[in-house]
Amino acid sequence: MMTTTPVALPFSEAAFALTLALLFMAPLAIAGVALINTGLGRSRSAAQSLLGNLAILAVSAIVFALIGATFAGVSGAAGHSFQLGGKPWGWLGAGPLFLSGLGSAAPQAQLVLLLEFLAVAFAGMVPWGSGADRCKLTAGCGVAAVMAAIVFPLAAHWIWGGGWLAQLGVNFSLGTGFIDGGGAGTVHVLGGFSALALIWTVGPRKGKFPKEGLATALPGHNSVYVLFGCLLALVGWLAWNVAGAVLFLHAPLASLPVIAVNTLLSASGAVVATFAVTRIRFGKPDASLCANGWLAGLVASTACAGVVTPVEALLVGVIAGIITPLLVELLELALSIDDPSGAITVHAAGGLWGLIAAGLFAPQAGQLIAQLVGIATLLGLVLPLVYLLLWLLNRVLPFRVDPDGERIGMDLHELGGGAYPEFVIHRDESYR
Amino acid sequence: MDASAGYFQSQIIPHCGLRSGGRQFILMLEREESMKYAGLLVMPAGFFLSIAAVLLFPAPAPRAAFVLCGLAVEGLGLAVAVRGHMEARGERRP
Repeated sequence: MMTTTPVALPFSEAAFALTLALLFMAPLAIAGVALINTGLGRSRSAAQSLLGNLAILAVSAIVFALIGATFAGVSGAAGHSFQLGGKPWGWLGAGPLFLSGLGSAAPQAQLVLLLEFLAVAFAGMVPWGSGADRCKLTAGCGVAAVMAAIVFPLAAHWIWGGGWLAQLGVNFSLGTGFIDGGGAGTVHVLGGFSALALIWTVGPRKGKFPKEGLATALPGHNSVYVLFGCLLALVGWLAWNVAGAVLFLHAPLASLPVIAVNTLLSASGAVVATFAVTRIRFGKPDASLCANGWLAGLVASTACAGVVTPVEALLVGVIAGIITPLLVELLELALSIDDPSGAITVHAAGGLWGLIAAGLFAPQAGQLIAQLVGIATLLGLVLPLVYLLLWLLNRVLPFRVDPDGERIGMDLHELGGGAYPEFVIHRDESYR
Repeated sequence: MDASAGYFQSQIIPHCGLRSGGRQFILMLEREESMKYAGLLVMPAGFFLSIAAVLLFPAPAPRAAFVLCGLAVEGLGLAVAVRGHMEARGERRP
């Protein structure tokens, strides 16, 4: 399969035009996930959920432009580093302030920045789905701002910007350094861990875990949104993975169709596996879990689509699809984690599996250890950091609405009107 | 120690001269909330173990073993943090 090199290759005009066109399609992945988040929430919070996604996109873009882009940096540009063990450890970018001089920057650097704008919005949207039906709009925007200003730039610099994780190959002979072409780590694992931190900070929805008995089922209100979101996400993901492979793995143009095929096969294997698992466990396939399985396959492919063969991509997807319904059940029933959108399973677990798979199937020696070091960084450093930041932010700007607001729904409470004004929203019997 | 008896609150805190922040800290420990934070503090230790493995062991086998040990420590920390955040059910819920 395609080999990767840390040295930037000359960027042809054809590659520039193709990558730019792909990046114009990549927001469809964000749109798909926004629809999925909304459909998996309750009808009385639908408008607030979708507006929240839009607001998060906007806030992320502004904060990243003003603060985050400076610290994220790009590979080969200036950055802050320290010496440890006789090797340089690049830990923070030192780009120009407020995107000054962007127009005269190298074409590849401009494209990386455009992808990072989309990635930071995506990473901010993932926890919003997990805080559905109980988090204020200001909370979503606050979390997005923290992610865009502090957490994402750090991860993006370490992984995409030529930081210490990207240089593990050069400095310590660990393969080609940490591989993450599409952002499984920088976007999905980061977003999934932020979702876990947000859930820990705000707690479960009212009535989700009664004092006695099993957790209350609070199913999503619109399976059509969820399943259409999956189709929409596929288009965006194909563009995202291929663009990421060109920018970060320096994939030759001839290998790009294989990367797209790998993405599709991973998602397909995942949804078929989830379909089979839910049919065996519950007697009938579960639509929302199948959607989660599809997304988990896409997420897993973001890390490894550029380094695996099609058969390996299918295997990666099948394993992601088997893990997804089992982990959703474990988190909800055994660990009392109320995650309406399944972000922890889909984005965190799917992303981690994809990163491991990239190490398992990549031909370079030491690649698996590089991937494991990257995972150790995300789990051991980034998750506690995100938790600390969200905990502090929650002290200043409480995330959770008051119980009455939660009862009447986020639409009425925060927006003054429902998403479906001509429909009678039935009384929720599960509210206790 | 029986947390429900309010041992710290009733017997130690009034006499130990702690200010309200200190009292809240001791009460937090008593309520087992410390598990949340203990788990999250253990996780960076696993990260530093992985980094130490990369720095100190040039040979692949011990390097991989210590990186895996670091991940195992992080997993333990995560398990403790998850346990600390779990909703109290049944008799344990106030």
